[in-house]
Amino acid sequence: MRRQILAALVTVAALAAPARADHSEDEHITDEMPYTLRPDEWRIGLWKLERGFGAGPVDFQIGSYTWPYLLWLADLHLVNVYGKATVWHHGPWSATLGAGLVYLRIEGDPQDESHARFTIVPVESYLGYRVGPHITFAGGLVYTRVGVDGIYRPDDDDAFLRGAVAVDNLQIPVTMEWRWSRHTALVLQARFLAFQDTAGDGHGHYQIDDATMVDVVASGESDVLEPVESFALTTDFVWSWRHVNLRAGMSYGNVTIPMVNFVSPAKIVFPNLDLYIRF
Amino acid sequence: MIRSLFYCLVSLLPSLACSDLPDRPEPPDMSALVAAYASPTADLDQPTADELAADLRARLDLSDALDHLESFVDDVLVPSLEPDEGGGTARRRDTTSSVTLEGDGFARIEHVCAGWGAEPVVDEETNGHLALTTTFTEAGFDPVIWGEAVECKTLIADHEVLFDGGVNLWIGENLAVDRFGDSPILFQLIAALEVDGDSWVDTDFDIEICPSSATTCEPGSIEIKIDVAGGDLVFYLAPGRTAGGFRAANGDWACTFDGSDAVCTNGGESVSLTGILP
Repeated sequence: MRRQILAALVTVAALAAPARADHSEDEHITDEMPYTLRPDEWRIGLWKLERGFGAGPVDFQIGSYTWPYLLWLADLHLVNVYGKATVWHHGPWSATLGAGLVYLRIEGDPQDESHARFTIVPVESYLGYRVGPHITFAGGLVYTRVGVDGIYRPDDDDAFLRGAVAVDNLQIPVTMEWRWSRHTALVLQARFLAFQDTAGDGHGHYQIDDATMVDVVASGESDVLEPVESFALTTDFVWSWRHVNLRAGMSYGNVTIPMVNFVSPAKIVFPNLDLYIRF
Repeated sequence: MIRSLFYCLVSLLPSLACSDLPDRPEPPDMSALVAAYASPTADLDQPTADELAADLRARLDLSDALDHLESFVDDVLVPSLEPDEGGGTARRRDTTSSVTLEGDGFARIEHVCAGWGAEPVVDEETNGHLALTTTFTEAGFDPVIWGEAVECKTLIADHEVLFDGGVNLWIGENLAVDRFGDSPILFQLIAALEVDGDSWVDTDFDIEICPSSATTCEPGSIEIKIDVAGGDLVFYLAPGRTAGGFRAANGDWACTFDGSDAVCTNGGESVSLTGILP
């Protein structure tokens, strides 16, 4: 066992050895930036698995968050996939469009009709300008719709609640990447929430007494889940070697839950960490 | 602005949380009837009093038979729609589930009529049922609750009553969900009606009642619209018949009652009606 661990460490150290430029004009940080993996390039990390493709003038990547698959251990069969394409690249300018899908269905007992279904679709667009070899500015629009629908039977009689809720939000990340060296970059980001609205409709069936039943069908909208003056400020350092990339830093503000893109109400200081290899 | 723009764009995407809920139904228009109760159009004078006496007696007989119509509100509508003290919901009597009236929507109430026995029996095939619909918004209930009675048999003040047809209720504009039953309710029956086996010829009957829990009117009081040749006027009666009168285009006529007869005065004028009270 010790030998295996030692071998793993040696392998990682070998991969981590600085070898060639990794913050280059050809290789970019892709998270929340207007860039994609190069064709045939893989990214495997703590949180994501991605693959780059090329189709004529368009580079694109397809990926999936890996950590949600741990939920399968709890019999929650969540699947997710997302893609991003470099739709425009002209000199220092670059633009991407992306979209994703997350789907989860939670079932009750086999005899119970109760279930819930979560469907999350983020749509994002980024535009960036590379000022020179060291500085890149990028801005984006990230729209996400979180949809939940289902049915709940609270007890043995024929009462039930069924309905659907959708949470829409739009976030605007503005990012500056400052390359200090071939291996080290500083990423500063301000992220603003333009809105986060909740809308829903539902149908409840109630037995008031033996002689009286009531069916209620209602819909409504609310911004009750919208944090006040929501933002997050991030300072991350990104070290890139031949294959290994480490991103670490701190943020202050409202936490955006990855993949779901739901913005939490409280402003806190929170760490950022990502480790991935590209090859 | 940003939100509106994005909702325009997103509306092009298929809904991700769609449901197959029924559309919100449209209530019947009761505005003409409400206006008639609010602003009588006919003058009251002795010829008119003579003309309306028989019709008023018939309607008071019917309202007497329906004397405890407000018990319908207390027994059926209020438990179904009125929130509990926690606000927003009506708690079921036997379980923890609850009716929630929030947002924009409608509620349908299906009630199996109690029948004519001393004890209510839940038997829809024998006793019929009553189906009512109410729509609501964040501001409260919409003014009209409507529906139909299907061979609905029920005891009202020991009278065996059978409804079969339409039932509309006007409860007022934007009545807050937690204020249901506080205000007068205008009933409109467009139904075949039998009381103690007698079939009532006039099947288009309306009456405004003040529920027993009301705070904006005197509980138990009633108002009845009477159609006459020159339009309509409204007869009102306090509980116990301690006071009553007419609201007419030519003013308010307070009545004093002597047995089944009444003398109503307005300023220096008076009219008399014979045999109007049951």
